Amino acid sequence: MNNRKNYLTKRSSFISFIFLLFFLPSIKGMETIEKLTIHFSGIPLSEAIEQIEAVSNYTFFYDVNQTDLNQPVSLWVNEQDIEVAIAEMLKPTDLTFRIVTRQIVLQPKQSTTSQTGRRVRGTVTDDLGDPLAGVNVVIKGTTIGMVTDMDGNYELSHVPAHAILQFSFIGMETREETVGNKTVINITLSENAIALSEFVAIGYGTTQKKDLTGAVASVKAENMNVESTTNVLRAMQGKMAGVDIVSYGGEPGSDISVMIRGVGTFNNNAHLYIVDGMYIDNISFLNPNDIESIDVLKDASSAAIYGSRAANGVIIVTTKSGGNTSGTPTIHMSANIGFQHATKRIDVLNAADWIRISTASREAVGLEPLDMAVNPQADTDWQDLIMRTGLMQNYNLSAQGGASNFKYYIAGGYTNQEGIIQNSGYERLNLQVKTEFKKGIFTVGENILVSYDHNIPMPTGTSRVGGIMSAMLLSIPTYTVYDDTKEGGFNGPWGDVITLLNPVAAADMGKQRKENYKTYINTYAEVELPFDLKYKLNVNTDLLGSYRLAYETIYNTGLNQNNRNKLSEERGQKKNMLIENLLTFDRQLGDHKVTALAGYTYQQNKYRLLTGSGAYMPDKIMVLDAATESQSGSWETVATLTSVLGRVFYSYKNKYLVNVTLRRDGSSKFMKDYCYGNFPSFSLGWNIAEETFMEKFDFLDMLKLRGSYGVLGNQEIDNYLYSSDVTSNINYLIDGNMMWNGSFPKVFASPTIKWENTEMTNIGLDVVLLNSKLKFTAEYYIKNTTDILLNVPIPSSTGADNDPLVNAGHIRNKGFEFLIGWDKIVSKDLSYSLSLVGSTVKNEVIRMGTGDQVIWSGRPNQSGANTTKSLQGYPIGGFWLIPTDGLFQSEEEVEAHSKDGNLIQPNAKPGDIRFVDTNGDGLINDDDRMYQGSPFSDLILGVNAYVKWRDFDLSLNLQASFGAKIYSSMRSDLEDVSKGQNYSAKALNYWSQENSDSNFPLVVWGDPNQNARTDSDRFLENGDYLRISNV
Amino acid sequence: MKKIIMCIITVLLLSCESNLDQLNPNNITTETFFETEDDFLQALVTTYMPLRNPYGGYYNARSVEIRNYRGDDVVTRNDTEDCYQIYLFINSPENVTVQKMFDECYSGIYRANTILKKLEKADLSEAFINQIRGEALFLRGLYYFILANEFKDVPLRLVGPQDPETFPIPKSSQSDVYAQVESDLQTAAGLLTVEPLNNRRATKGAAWAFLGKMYIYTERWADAIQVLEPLTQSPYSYGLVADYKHTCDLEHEYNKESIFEITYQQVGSATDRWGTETVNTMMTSPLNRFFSAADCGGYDICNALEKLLNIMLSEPDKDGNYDIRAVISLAWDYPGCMYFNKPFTESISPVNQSKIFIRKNTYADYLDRDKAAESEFNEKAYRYSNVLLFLAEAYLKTGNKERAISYLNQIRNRANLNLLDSSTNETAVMNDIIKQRAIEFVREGERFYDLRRWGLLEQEIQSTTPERAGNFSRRYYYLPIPSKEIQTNPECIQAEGW
Repeated sequence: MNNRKNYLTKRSSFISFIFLLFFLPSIKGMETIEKLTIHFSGIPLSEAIEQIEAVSNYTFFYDVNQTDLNQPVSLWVNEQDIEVAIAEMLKPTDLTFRIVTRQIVLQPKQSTTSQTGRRVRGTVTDDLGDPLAGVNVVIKGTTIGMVTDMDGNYELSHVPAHAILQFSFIGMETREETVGNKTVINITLSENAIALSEFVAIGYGTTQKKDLTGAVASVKAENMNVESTTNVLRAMQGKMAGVDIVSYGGEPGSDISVMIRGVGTFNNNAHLYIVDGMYIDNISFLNPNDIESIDVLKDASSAAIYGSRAANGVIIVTTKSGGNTSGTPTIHMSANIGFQHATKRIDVLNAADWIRISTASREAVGLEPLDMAVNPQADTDWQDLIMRTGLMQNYNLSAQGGASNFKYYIAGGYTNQEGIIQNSGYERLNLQVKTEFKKGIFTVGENILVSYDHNIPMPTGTSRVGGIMSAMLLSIPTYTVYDDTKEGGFNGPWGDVITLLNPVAAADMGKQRKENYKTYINTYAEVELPFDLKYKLNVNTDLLGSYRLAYETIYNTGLNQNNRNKLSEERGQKKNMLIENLLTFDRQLGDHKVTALAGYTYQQNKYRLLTGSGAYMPDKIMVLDAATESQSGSWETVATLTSVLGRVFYSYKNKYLVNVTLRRDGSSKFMKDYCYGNFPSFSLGWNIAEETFMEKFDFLDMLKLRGSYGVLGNQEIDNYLYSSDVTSNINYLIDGNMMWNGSFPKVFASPTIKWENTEMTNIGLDVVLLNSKLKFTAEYYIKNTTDILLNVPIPSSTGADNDPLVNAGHIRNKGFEFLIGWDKIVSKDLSYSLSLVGSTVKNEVIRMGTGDQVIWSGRPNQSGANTTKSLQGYPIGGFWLIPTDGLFQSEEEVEAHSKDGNLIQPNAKPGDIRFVDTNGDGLINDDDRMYQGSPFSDLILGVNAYVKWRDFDLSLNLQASFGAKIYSSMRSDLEDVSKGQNYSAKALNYWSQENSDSNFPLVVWGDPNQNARTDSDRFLENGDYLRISNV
Repeated sequence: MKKIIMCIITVLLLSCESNLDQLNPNNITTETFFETEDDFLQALVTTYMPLRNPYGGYYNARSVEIRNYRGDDVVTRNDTEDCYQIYLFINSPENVTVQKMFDECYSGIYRANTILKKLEKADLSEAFINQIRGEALFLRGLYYFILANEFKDVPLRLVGPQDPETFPIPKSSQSDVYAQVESDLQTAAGLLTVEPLNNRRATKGAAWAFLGKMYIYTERWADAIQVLEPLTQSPYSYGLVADYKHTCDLEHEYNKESIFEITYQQVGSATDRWGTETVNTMMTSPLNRFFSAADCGGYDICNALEKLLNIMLSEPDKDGNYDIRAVISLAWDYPGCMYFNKPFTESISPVNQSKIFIRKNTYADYLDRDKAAESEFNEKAYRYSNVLLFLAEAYLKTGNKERAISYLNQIRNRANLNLLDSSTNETAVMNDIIKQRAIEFVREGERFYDLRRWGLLEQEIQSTTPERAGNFSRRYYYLPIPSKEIQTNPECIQAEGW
């Protein structure tokens, strides 16, 4: 249900009061004045018309050729009905009139004696048969015409036989009909085929959808679910083909990953975000309510204009602007409140069960039970204590409007989201001010986006990998939370157990804070030059500040201690500048349409970081001045990019479309000989539906076949990698306490690195049918990323501290995307729409740095072995794991699992896992790993349904993903019964002679058979899902 | 007009183009390095640094752990998975601690190789070049000794280019690596001085001492005697300190018994206790906490086994008391035991009182409660007592029992034990050498290697902790080559049994 409406209806009286307050003046202004008060005498009719139009909201409609505008007229009325007033004015003239809504139609009293032509009349109705009033009926090529009355009727005199009548109405498609020898012409008008004339943002401008030859996915504000999320990327989930959006955990303020057409590189897959022409790193700070539309440029030809930054796709966000509202503002206000809590808890053992299992595990190797099992203090439910229901609030207020020569949009928003983990949360303030002024040939404008956010992240300092989440699940339930006898007041585990910090202590002690201050300023000036040229100068500045604070207090929980108060603070500052010079040319000459763009841009990013840390402050004092030991540091980077760009678009009769783009970039991240990259692309389109042979298929509004090919580049790597630097501060102590400073050129540099290249080929088909009710788009693409910058691992025996970067790998992504949409307006009150979006991606590493190079990744927990690797012939980061084959049920089975008389698993007992010796060499090791699946989905589907009845609407969004595999590293920790921590409830079902058909292996301390080894497929799960993302 | 516009545009273009050349504002570059004495000294410092890296440095945290855990005299709990696996003999080539040890050794080797190469072209005084060369060769020899000792067969690199063509090389056998160690240490000994330039940089004596150790490990008794015997005389002034306590306390660092020592001290205002090679690296080591009891603020990761205590108490000293080395190295529940300035029974909770804590190199004698993991105890990498015991063994094995007994008696005398007389038979002398080494070098990471070279490893491990006895097998004599090396160096194959 629509939360917004529910909330508002509850408070409708208050809201309507506010609305009335704001709208009252404008309402007054829009009221039709039925009474006229006006005085004039003996002025020409044309002036009289002007005066009456000025004081009322009526406009006059007349045939210039048949109306004598100079004839003198007079009128003196006070609060007179307009009909009576006009009648009085026209009495002495040769004109008569009719009033249709707000139009006063003048007609000559007698018919003139133009003999040709006849009278034509008729009725104009809409799709549903209802009469349409106010439709302009004009003889094409003239200004002779009239408007239909309340019943949709019209009547024209002296219409020549060869004439074409043109029927037009705002929001409806214009129809034309030749008169011929008809005297009655009835017409049905239908809603405008919006899809075809819709505008889509492409680089440095917009184009009409019908002219588009590239692959662009779009979402409009009304189709995004802005109510239930604070992050604009979440609002886009499942709406666009080829765009896969996944969030990294549910922490408020946390990042969201976006994949456009698969993962193309091992390095930074960052996309280019363009917000109103400004380059922005991360759009999470934007207020979703300020967004008008989002367009994603997926293929080479659409993205090529951004050349070097565009290889992973470009996301163009357009924020709302004002419009011509004759100066009066339109105000929007919304408030949303929601609650979040963890929908599913993980089943871990309670105290009694844990005592049982841990004791059994210890006994299996002859060890005494843990003291925490023999002397339990409590039965603590850590998940219950750490998690809570979080309140989420979001308030927005915006004003937009303008007049014919300026427009403005001002919006502010506040979001507050409590995290579901104690003491975590996110708060954000946004403000946007956007104005544009036009005078003659000059247009000047600005756009300022300001945001401040404050994030209290989940505590991470728990002395083990996994932060508070793993501490919460793995903490043993037999100790109390508090202990007054310990410093800091918190209790902790003891004995031969893992040193996990008490999770409540981690959440409550200390303090962490992250703040971001962002100001994006965009100013531009545009001048219209002769010959259909326009020049625009864009100057953008970004000022971004970040602040981090982390404070730890003194505590002693037994195995975990911190004996001093520690503080660290960090301030980063980014100053970015962008100067763009753009020259555009736009001309339509008959059947030919040409648009061209040429530009030169310069961009500079400066970043400076200042850090400070200190220790031994007195309690509760959080400033570094109070520290007896302190340390500071700073760091700086500068990067620049210069580019020359050009694009030409040509279309012939709207049927044949050609688009060519070229961009040349120079980057400071590479050395002189390698710093330039050239990125060309071209695309073709064929609007088949516009062909004459397709005219008979008039249910087909658009049928377009298009193809594109282009090359884009990627340079999102760290700065200064090509330079061979001397690292200093490699120190050693001598003579008791003398610091001996050392430096060494220890970094293996990469002086020959250059751009990564992505070549993309795209073929697409767009079909729009049945007056834009049904639309269908299908695309097939192949994306080859070559010269991928890889840290090719080199042997440790070389003594290298790092793996140098080399342009080596080659990755290919292929896929198919489709979109089917159905929009229907059933009646004036009811309409609905349904859409299905799907995409597939097949990812394959064609080549690595060297033929057999393997990059290992995916380390699941504190000390496990890697689970994924990228190598030739398989997808990136595929799972390569040793297969398991059930449990040994008896000693005989353990004996049977041998090779050449030697046991393959010499430490195994009945109840342990049997690992498959894939390569038959008698050992279980890395060589036995097999490819077991990819972490990327094979198919992603999204279903969006929307129904609107009067003022209520209902929307439903579903998402499904098939084919991905997930490795549960949480299970690899929780199901490891070999050490001192809490275990999953599944462990209650452990194998024993009496419980021999269990699939949970033996519990044995130390795990000699390595049942919990992370490189087996025991913890690999199927990642298919279907979820309702919004109702 | 057009010309002016073209000029302006060109100027704009060019000025922007030159901004594409950005110099790293954070570091200097290598073009001007390796020219002055100061440069070489700075480079030399970095060649020492890998010895004290907390993750992989041979004389700091993790490596001290894994050197001790494979012996039969300690027990540890599962705090760090990697170290625990090494203790249990279930470690695999993915083990991170082993990887880091491997990395640090080769890091030092690379730096030494680079210095040696640059020295060839350096335009500096001969005395200086010899000194630097000596130290670099000493360090390279030491690192290769460590590698061959831990991994057996390893790749041998003697040049340090960054050219990828040179990266894949096969392993060299342990004997080839030892041969290189021999050559490096001999040359180093020739170039270095008797007294260190600073405490504790490499010296002639240190080079001979490590060479001697290598000879003992490879049973080249005569060679061992030849290089170690001179250390007992002038010009060297090594000797045993009278009080065993002085070998492991804070006040007597750099004493005459210490041949090579790694310095740890709180210097400056750095805060990263596990720091490696940054400005924020603390110059202390985190080791004090590892052995201290949890009741007194330690991590209590590693305790001594009763077996060790039994060995240590098997022979009371001349006055009938416990062997002083036992009292200094260990803390257990005996009358009069003070631990962290309180009687043992008060500072340790009853449930833990059956444990035997290692107190050597901890703050148990200094503080009421263990401090943060910032130990200022220097690590004694090589003590003169080790030279004496090696000499005793070498003389015994070459038939000179009297000489062996005389060296052994020096150790015994220092510990206030009764001296052996010359009638003791050879087996008994050897057993005593074994026993004295076990007692003398608690926590100093000698036991495992001694047991291994005497062929006693299997039986001793089998007879101690049951939880790992079953896991032990021949392949655990040496650590496996880390998987990253196997994965990236196609010519290097894994050790046998892995």
